[in-house]
Amino acid sequence: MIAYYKRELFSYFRSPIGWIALALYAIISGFYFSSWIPNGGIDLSGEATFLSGILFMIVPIITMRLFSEEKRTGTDVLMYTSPSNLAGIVIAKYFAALSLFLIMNVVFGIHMIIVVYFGGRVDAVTIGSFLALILLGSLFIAIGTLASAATENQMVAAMVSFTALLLSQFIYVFSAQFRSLTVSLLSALNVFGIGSESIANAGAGVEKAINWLDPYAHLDELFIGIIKLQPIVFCVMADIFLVFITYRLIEKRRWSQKA
Amino acid sequence: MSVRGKIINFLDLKRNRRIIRDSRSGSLKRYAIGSVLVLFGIVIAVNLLVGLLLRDFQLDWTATQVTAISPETEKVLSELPVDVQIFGLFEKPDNVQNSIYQFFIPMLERYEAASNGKLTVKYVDPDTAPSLIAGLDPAGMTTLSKDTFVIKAGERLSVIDPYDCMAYDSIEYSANNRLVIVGNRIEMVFTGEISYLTSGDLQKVYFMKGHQEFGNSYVASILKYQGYDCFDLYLDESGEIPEDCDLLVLNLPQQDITETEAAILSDYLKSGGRWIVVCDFISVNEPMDHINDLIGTMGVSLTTDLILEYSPEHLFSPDDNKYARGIVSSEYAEMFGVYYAAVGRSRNVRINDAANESVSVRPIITSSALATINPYGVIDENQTSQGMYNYAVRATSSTPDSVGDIVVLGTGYLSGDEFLSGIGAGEENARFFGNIILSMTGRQNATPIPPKAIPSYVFTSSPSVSQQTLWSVILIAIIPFLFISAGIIVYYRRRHQ
Repeated sequence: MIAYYKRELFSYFRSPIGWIALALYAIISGFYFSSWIPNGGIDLSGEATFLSGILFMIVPIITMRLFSEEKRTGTDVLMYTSPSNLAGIVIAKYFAALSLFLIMNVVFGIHMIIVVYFGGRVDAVTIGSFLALILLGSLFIAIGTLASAATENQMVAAMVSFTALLLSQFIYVFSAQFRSLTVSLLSALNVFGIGSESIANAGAGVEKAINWLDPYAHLDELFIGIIKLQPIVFCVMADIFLVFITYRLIEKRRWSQKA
Repeated sequence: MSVRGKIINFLDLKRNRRIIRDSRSGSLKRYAIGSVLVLFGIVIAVNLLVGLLLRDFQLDWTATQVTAISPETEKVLSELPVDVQIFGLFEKPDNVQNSIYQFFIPMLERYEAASNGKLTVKYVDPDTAPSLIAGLDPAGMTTLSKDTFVIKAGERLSVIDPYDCMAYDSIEYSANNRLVIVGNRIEMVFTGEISYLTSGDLQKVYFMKGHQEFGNSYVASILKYQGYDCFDLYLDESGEIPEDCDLLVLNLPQQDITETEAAILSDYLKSGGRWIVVCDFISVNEPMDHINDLIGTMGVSLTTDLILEYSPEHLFSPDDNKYARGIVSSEYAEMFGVYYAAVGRSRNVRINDAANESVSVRPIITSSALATINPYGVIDENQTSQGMYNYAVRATSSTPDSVGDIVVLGTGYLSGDEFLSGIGAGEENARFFGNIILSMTGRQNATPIPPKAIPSYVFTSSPSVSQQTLWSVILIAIIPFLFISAGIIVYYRRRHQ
């Protein structure tokens, strides 16, 4: 597993992909940071919040070639026939992508050093918001890994993860729509004479259930410096679940090879 | 074996192989789906368990300890005599960090947790639940508008505007008319309102109106926290002071009271009434003849002289003598535990020589012995009037049946909204004013809940323009260029390998 991890991580730097992702992230975060310097101060938790909003562009670049490239070049057979555990290979690839994301966030560390140099404030809130950014990134990378495993085309994998991550920012909009839809349906098909308050509660329940899937809502308080266990557990469990589905998908592909 | 037999054998083998493969893939498929579902169930269960069992576990790393509540609030919440409901009349935002509600929502969760079920918090969009909103105030006594908070305890109701809970930079407001939030008083306001709504009989404070008074919402919120019911009184229209009035306040009027009002107030004071008069040079520099006639009977005059402080240790800035640290008299310093109060543009409150024997007049806040008084706008260049002068005075007049009690303040720094909205001196002054009222009405001090300052992220050594440009070039151009260059080099090396 360690060997696969190293191979995958170094492959990012042996191709332009990793460097492009690093450059893009550095430009965007540097632009945000530089726009605040003339104001005489910056709250870095605001920068972390801003960067969390652009992950939908960065993460697909990192994850699009994880599995789809192997399928395209035919080297996936090596993966299936490797003496290593297939689960270990999937985990190694996931952690390689996550490591690249962590390396990208070194620029955030540079920004912290600059702020301290100018006598600004880097407090526990900054650390909390950075932690939230990393957790969100890990979740999005898990989604991107799954998208990469689902297709053999890199561009399709990138588009799928791009769309999924973009839509994750609007879960609260969908949940409100579904609530309205539920209330309308139940009101129209009200054969059991359910009261309007119960219908409204049902709609609110549907909205709450969908909103539970919103990672931004879970990490909201983390971005302002309130550390709770529940958002961390949510992200970690979601990562495990998504990586497990990826593993199952790869394993299914292995066993569906024609004899 | 015949050809037919071989063909049948071959087909049977193929069918058997397919059956073997199908049953194998079928069982693998079932196993895969089952394992995914089991893991999904575990994920949901773990999240629910953590949400239920470790709901209260949190580390508040915010600089202002935004979710922390003081022992005073915990005491109020643990001893709630009735159920309290707090309604946020808005859709609870998903991203609180970009809104003013980041200060409210986490704190109100702590309120709920600390109340042992006696206090609940809900967020309701009034546009989608009009019947619920109507149910909050069936009598229609209050205007319930969106984006406010409503606290309900029994039949009593209170509405809070979030922006009234914040402390603003008064200098930025005065200079540039901009509201810059520098702190929050959320805990004080909410705990004060909850105490007020769940209290039994409250003492009543009436604020006189109709004289273009400056705002006193800040003082009113402090008084509510200390257990007072605050009302406005248009004395000229009503013609009388309500019998349940425990204290009357005339806060920074811009015009004198009328003769009618003066007559009513005279009877009020003779029958043991309590009155606070605040008048400084920020509001107006007119002599207030009717007010002076009235307080003159208690041995006090509100002059048109501006106090200028010349003691360096009592000045905030050596360039401006109008703003100073007033010295709290020993009697009140011992009572309130405060030795100085910020004052500014203050009238001299004079203790008349001709005060009669039944009147006792004591200074509350004085200047140093190096201050001078100047008729407003005229500077005493030679400082011939150097001496100690009064910023605030208290006079009590005892008759066989009652004790009239007045406090006259020549500075608005203890009671005006504009001065009290800032963090620091403003908050201490407001507490001081509240303590004066407590001492007049004979109540115990409620331990005040201080506001929480928001930290400043301003650079202590701001970069120069050239430094800004340099860092911008490094961060936006040089670092990304290095990454891209490395990528190009790697690409060409691999291509030519």
